[in-house]
Amino acid sequence: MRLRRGQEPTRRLAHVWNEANCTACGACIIACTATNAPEMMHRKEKGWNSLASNIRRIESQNAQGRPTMMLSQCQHCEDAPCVHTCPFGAVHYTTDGLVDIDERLCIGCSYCVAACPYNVRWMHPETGLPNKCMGSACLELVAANQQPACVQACPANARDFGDLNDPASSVSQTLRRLPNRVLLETAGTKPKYFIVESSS
Amino acid sequence: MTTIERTGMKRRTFLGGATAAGIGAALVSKGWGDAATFFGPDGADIEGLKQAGYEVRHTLCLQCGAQCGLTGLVKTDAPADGKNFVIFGNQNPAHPQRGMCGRGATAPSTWNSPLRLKKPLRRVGERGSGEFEEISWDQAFDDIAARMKTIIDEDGERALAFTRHNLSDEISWFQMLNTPNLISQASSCNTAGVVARRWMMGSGFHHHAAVDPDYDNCRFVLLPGRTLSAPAGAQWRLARAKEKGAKVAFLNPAHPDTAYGGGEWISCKPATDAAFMLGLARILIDENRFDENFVRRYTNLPYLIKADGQPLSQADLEEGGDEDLFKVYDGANIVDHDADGLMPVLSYEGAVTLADGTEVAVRTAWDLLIEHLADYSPQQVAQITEVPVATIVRIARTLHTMQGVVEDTWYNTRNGNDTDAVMALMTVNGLLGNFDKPGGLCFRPGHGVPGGSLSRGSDGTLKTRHGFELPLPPPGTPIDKQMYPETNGTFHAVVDSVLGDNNAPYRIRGLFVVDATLFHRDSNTKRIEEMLRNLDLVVTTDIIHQEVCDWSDYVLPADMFLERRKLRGVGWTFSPTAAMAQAVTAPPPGADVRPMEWMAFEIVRRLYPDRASALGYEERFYNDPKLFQEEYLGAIEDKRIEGLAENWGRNPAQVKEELLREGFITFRDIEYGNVPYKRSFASPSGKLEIYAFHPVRKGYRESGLARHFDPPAFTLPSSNREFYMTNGKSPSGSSAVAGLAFSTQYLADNSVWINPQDAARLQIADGAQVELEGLDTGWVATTRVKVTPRVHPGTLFTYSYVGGNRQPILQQSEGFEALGKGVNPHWFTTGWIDPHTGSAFNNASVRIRRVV
Repeated sequence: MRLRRGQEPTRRLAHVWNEANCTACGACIIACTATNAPEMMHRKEKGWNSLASNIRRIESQNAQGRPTMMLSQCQHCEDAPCVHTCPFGAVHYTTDGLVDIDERLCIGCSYCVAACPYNVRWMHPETGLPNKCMGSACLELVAANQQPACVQACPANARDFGDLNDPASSVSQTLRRLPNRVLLETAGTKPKYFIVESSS
Repeated sequence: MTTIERTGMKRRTFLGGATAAGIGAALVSKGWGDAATFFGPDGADIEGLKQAGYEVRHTLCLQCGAQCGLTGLVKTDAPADGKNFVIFGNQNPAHPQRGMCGRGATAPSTWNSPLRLKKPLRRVGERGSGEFEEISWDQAFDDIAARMKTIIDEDGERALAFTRHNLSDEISWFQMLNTPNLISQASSCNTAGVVARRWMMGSGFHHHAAVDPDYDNCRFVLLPGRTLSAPAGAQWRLARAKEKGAKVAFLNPAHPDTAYGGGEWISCKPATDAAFMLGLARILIDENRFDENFVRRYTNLPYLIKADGQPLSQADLEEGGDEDLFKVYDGANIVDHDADGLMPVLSYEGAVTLADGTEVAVRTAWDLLIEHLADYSPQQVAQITEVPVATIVRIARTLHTMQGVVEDTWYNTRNGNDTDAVMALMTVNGLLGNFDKPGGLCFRPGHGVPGGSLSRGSDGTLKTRHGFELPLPPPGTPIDKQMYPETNGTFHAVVDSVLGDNNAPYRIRGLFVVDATLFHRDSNTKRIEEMLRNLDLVVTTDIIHQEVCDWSDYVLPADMFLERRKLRGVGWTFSPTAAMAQAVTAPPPGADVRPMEWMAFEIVRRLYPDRASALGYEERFYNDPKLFQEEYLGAIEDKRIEGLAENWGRNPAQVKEELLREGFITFRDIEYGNVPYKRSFASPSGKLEIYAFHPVRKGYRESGLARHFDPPAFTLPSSNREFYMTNGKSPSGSSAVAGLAFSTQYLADNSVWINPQDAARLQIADGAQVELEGLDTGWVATTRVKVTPRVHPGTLFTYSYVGGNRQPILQQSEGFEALGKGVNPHWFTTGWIDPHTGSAFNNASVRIRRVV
């Protein structure tokens, strides 16, 4: 449900990705497409030249020259540039603390795509509208008190999703217990996609 | 959203624990929001789902060979249009091999892929052209049988060969033809390790899943060459162990994807694993970090070895003595190795008088090992492997202090020196003595699932599991075992046979390729092409249009795992477990696909009607494969379940009900402390033979100790433009089927990796086109390179199974064109086969040139 101005979200739902458990198998990436954009399973996402998934796999290397890999997606920022930028009020916060796009209001201007410092949107070739995590199917799922597709798909216990306002939630417990970070912390976006850096 | 009347939670099945609701995600995605309401934290309301028109069907993934537990959710009243089912990993946390990796996730897109084989095809163009016409099943079988009859009449049944990848039970029905030549793909996968384990531990301990780390409780696991991208169950268990502090390291020339998950990557020069392991062994001994008690009691290192490398036995000392009664030194005398309470001495050197009066020097295998390891100091090993001394020392110490193990590999045929690499890692494990303990190397027990649906007695008689018999003479020894007696499956014997090479004993003229992508499976593409050109008959059965289809006279579309039912033992667990795969969905629209077993009968009945009918194949099955599956195969399944239940003292009906409800049944927990403490190894000495007796006695080698030597399978790179060409597995795409999935082009890209140092030296930019030329084969190919630190300097790497697919259909299928890019590593491999083990290899060497 759309968060009204001045209203506080009832939940602060957040994604947790444990990079120390992730085996880069790609199951979450494929499951995301199969769940949220099944019509794209055999079609290329031309903007990223990739599978039309809301999860991006980014390979790099650290200062020591060792290979690194990161899965990135919408961070569901609490101070989201995309929400501020959208001229039509289509991009908005939900009462669950997520960032969502109201397709009825969106005209596909792509301002939000440019505004996002995490570069995690893709444009659907048929609707011309931006897509990102959470996909519409996963949002329905969350509304039904279920877990997103990526969490279910992971064979290595590397993904979780839950409410930061609930100290007993598994994400809250994990973030209390294990070292973690967010991306572009100094950008002021207050992201809620947490990268756990250690299994134990 | 319509409202569905709830029926109450009468029967629940595990669909989740923490992730139960994930199933709801898939449901919602298909517009089945109502069904999501039947899933909750305690599981799923099965009865409610049924009444609402949904069904839970468990299956076993065959997108690679690991066969992990998946679950399908099916809309029972909907047509099979791809929207009628979803799949996900079996969510029951008690399932020992559950989970869906990136390859498993491609299964639905394989099911309705544009590359899916849907009708029987007959070749109309040249072999390799990919030009076919659709024909009926009867036409295909009539043609094939007629051409087989000609071959059999002229050269006998043995002139027909059948090769497979995973479908061992399905292909077994071709035993009705009584050719001995049903030959697996093992030599290009696991033969090196299988032979090494058999030599060191004996039969029963040789299978690639027979020995494995206890991932649930592991503390440190070193994986030489193994990516652990499968099975998914091992990843799940390792993830939980890591949460308790376990560490993992990968020794590999290329950085495995799985190493991203908090693993240490030890970058090494290809083909040097044995040296690395022997370096570890040297450090463990030098620093007294080995388990002396285990070594003395449970390995054959105290055994006496003669100067000629042969073990000293009673047969040497007494006329008519037992050659399997070996000798050790007990501190005072040379005694039999099996004396009660014996604690033999590790270091001893002396002389004995043989039965013929000659005197020979003897030393313990331990002393020979110490002398042997003089060549494997950390500094020497660092030079060979290009791994820093400090890393080698640290890994050895970590193995000791954390009570770690070295994983014993699955796919390991890479360079031609791989049997020694596995022997060397088992040497390290022997010194550590961490066997059959929590977190140690443990042994898979029998799962109790009765063996094949069709078995052969020693007199040659074939028997189905449900009681039919067909008397046949024994078919003789398969041609690969004639040529390579130690092998567990060497397809190149067929290649040699067709081409008249390597003293092949006779010529094979007809080949059936069953679910086996020859071009990505077997080395030396030119020779494979030449073989296919020279065969009188080539038939392929598969689910996807593989490259080998284009070289086949007939292509028969088979059903895929989502469409069939099977009872199997679960391979990768220490808890005896059986699993049942159900058909999740019907084939996609327009796909006239059939089960392999039915195809075998249809061919055989045209050649030998009496044989088919003797095994219970009735006329009513002729045009009704579904009836055949339900009645014939169903009866076999019931008998196998009966046998399974009997083996575990359970009620068959209850066993079947649980298999269908949960997808698996585990009969007991892991039991530690058996091998080798209560039950000996099956080696000649009954010990872990760090000094392998069998190959020495057979004359394959002078010493039974593992050693490092340069790879014999290809020319070594020697100039600054020459590289090792290596390949390995991607968890997102490296398998025959997943390699042709749409997503694979993005998640397991088919570029060739080059290290930044090499790229800078050769002025090759990331994404540039390069030309590769095989040093041995001369094959020239152009491909895109990826400049990445994920590959060792001097080495190139590409994911296996995902590059160089040449079938024209890819260019005709929008979006699939890129799957034809990249290189197939076997364009560059020589096809060399180890003359003793029959092991093939998958690496090569190439010359690189920048394309301007």
